[in-house]
Parts: sequence; C-alpha cells; structure tokens
Amino acid sequence: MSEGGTHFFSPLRQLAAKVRAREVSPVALAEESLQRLDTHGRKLNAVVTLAGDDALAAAATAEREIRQGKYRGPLHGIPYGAKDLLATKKMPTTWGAAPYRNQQLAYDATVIRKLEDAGAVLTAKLAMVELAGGMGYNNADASFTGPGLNPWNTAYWSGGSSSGPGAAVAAGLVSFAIGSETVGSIITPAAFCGVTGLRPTYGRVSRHGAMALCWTLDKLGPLARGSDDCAIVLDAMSGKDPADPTTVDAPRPGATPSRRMRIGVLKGATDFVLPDVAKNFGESLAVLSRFADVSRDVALVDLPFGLVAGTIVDAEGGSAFLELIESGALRQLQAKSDRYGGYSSVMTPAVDYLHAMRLREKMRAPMEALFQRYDALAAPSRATVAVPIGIDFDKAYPELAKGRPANFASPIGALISVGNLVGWPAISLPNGFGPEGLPTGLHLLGGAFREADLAAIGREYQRRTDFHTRRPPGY
Amino acid sequence: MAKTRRAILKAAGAISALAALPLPAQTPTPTPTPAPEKKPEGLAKLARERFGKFLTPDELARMDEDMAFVETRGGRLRGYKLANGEEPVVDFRVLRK
Repeated sequence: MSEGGTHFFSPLRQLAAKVRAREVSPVALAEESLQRLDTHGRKLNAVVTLAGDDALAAAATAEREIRQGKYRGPLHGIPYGAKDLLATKKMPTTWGAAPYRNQQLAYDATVIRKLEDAGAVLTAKLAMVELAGGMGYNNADASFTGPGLNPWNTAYWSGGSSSGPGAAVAAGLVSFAIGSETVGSIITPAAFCGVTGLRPTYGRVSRHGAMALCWTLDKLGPLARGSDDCAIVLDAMSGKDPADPTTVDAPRPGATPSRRMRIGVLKGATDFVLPDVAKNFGESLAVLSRFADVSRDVALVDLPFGLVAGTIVDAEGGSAFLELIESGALRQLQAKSDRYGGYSSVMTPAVDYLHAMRLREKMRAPMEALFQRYDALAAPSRATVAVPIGIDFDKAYPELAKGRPANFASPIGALISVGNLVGWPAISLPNGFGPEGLPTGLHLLGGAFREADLAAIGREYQRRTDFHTRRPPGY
Repeated sequence: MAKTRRAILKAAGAISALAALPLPAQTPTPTPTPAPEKKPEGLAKLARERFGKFLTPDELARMDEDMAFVETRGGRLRGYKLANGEEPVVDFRVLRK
C-alpha cells in the first residue's frame, strides 16, 4: 500500500508502468482505493456503493493476467469510480435520487463493460446530484447521499452534477472517475475540485446504460489528474456501439496533432468573475502563449445559448422523467426546488422545444466557421470558485452582481451552453487557486471529434504548470 | 447539467425578466386589508390543476413563478425569427441502423 494514496496522485502512465512491471499489485491498489473511499469518500459524501469483494476479485484477475503476461494496456489493474447513473448489474444504480435508491438494473452500461475489457477495476459507484440536476436544483444539498463536499475545503461544494467523481479524484480515492455532462456537469466539478475533466464529442462514447436526462445533450467522460490521463481513459471508453445508434466511428482521441495550436479567447471572458479567477485565467493565457497562438476578443454568434439549452433540458428531461413527475414522487427528492421543478419541465410547450432545436441548428455553421480560424476557444471554467454549502447558488457571491447589467449574458455560461448544444468536446484544466484555498479552472472548447487537440493543449499546459499535481491537505 | 439549469438561464439574462413579473404575494398595500390574491393564469393555472395536489402553498407559489418563466422564455425564444425552411436538429431515420 502506498503512503496515503500516493499512487492515486500519480500520472496514469507512471502507475500503469509500475503495475505492468509488477512493482505495484492491483489487489493492493484496489484495497487501498476501497479503504480510502470508505473513510475519506464517505466523509466527503462522494460514495454511494463500494464494489467491495467484486472489486477485489477483478483486481485479483488483473494481477493474475499480468503475471501471466496478458497485459491489456494502461488501465489494467487501475481502480476507478463511476458516477451512479451508469448501470451495473452487481450494484444498485441510484441516479442520486431517493426514489431510485434500491434500483437494481440487470446489465452493465457499455462504458462499464469497455473499461472492464480494458482491465480497469471498478471500486465504487460515486455520488451525484439527484437525476443529474434535471429538476433544477439550486443548492448543493441535492442528493440522498448529502451535499458533495470539496476536498480542498469541506465547507464548500464539490460541484455538480458529477459531485462524487470530482471529489474522489481530487482526494486521491481512485485514479480516475467517469462523470457525465448534459450542460456543464463535468466541467464544473473538475474546476471546483482542481482536477482535469474531459467532455467528449456527442457520439464518441456510448450512452447505453446511462441514465437519460436529455438524449440529445448527455455525454459521458473522464475526470482524472491530468490531461494525458483523461485521453487514456477516453480512448478505452470510445467507439461505435450498436446499443446506442448515436455513436459513430471517429478517429481515436489519443492521436497527437503536430501543428501549432490556435486558441481564441472569448470576448469578455473575465467580466464579472472573482478577481482570482481573472488573475489565474490571465496567467493561463501567458502559459498557453508559450506554445500556441493566442488571439483575444473572439466573439460568439449572437444567439440565446442559455435559453435554448434550458428549454431543451426541460422538455427532454420532463419527458424522460414524466412518470416520476406525474406520480408525485418528486416529494422524495432532497433539494427543495427539485420537489416542484419538474412540473415546469413537463409544461414546456412543444413549439418552444422545436424552436429551441431550430435555433440550435442555427448555431452549427457559425461555430464551424469560427473553428476554421481556431482549434480551441478559451474562458474560465466558472466565474467563481466552489459555492459554499448551505447557501442557494443564486445567493452565493453577491458581490459579482454589483454593476452587472440585467441583460448580461455570461461568456463563461455561453461557452458551456454552446459547446454542449453543438455537441463538441471540452476540457477543464486546473489553473490555480482562489478564496478559501479553492481551485479554479481553464475551460477549452474544441472542434467536433478533436479531443486530440484538447488533450495536446492540456499536456503542453500541464508540462509547464503543476496545479494538476497538487494534493488537498489531509488527503 | 450545469451548476443549475436556472443558473444557465440566469446567465442568459432570462431570470431578470422573470423577476420583473408581478407577483401578487409581494405587492405592497397601503391599507391593512390584504390585496385580493391574483389567480394563476395560463400555464400556472393548468399546472395547478395537474400537480397542485402534490404541493404545499409555498411550493405552489414557486411553481407559479416557474410557469411564468416558461412563458417568458418561450416569448423570448420566439423573438428570434426563423425562416420557414430552417429545420430543427432532428435525426429521424426510416431505418434504425
């Protein structure tokens, strides 16, 4: 066993090399992960179910195979956690919500199966915001496992809706975790927890066996220490799947482009953000400028990204959870606003949904034109550090509202919304710290199926910075 | 999801429109006699008929606000004009594979 989970703070390639060389035992890694999840993970409200004996059995199999020379690749024998919206036949799949806390599905999600094929060892199902936030939560206390606590400061939230994956990676409870994003649920916890999160292009990763909130927006992706780690995991998760007709054959995400990257910085990217967020973002741009061409004041097309995203999430989420909503079982949800939020979802007029989907189509051409000039667009991942526990989101950081015009459209929110609406990949890289010792993040949006660009930028950035290697005190 | 769905909308400036809507419970009155409560209309009325039985009075009021927001949002969306031939993002296929 390593000294206090050191293995889980190592780059994946480094740990994998030790596993392959039989310097580190997969069984010992699984035991250590389970122990840390059971102690630190429970205190952080990051764990729903431990894999226990099943994890140890999988680790023993990996150990035996490696000893026999049957090495499967860099994830062989590596412990990981999965957001509890991925179906697993051996453990409950709760979707973070009390009405489903005993839900037992009879199959494994494609992603779980692919990672098993790669030899990775699932050690826990990780906490999440109930129903991935589909009922419109406004407070961190929005899961039957309690509010996700941030390892950097437990008085603050770990982000959502992939709260457990963010916290578990940050605290070194697993080597990597699988999260999901509809509109921001990988980028946000990655930024708040100071880890790297990679949201893939829609269609690169099968959604089969993942809870559906929004069929046209949901994506599954890795959270890990560094960009290279995320690329390795994404490679194992990706690929066409007959069980998910929206998946496509695409170039493998790991291939590294040889050209110099061109990065466009969103106009107004630091308007109405915390001072530390602005400072860290400025320093990130200076680092990026050392290996990429960085252009400032890039404007997005003038379309209502937030309105469109919200309408689509409401309409699709309202349909996906219609039975729950109409049954009155929303009362069992944890967040107060989730107990009535679903009713407005199901009342979204069909014409509004279709109008939103038509406006969504209108975003494609200008974004493609923009990406003729740039390989990535940059902005801070979030305008603030993590939100305090116990305070409604709309009441946190009131100082940012001073002088802010009523019609202010945040470029940070716009980049998250438009990236998800067009289905393109994004990465959040840890880029410093702010108030209360809490991390901040750098958000880069890439072109369709160009995860390799993002991973390459991330690798270069992380060669020159060490934020992704920092370890929260006490873990 | 993002931090919250409504946070996205707020970022788009949409919540401010909601805040401008008159809410009967917050209307100041010059006399001690409370003003007659405005009856919910439109989507809020329909939503109360369908789901009111599940909600407390406070939740009903909040649902009314949400419904007013859905109507405001729809109005704003429809403010973006689209030509007849501009089709939505759909991927209907006669054959699944």
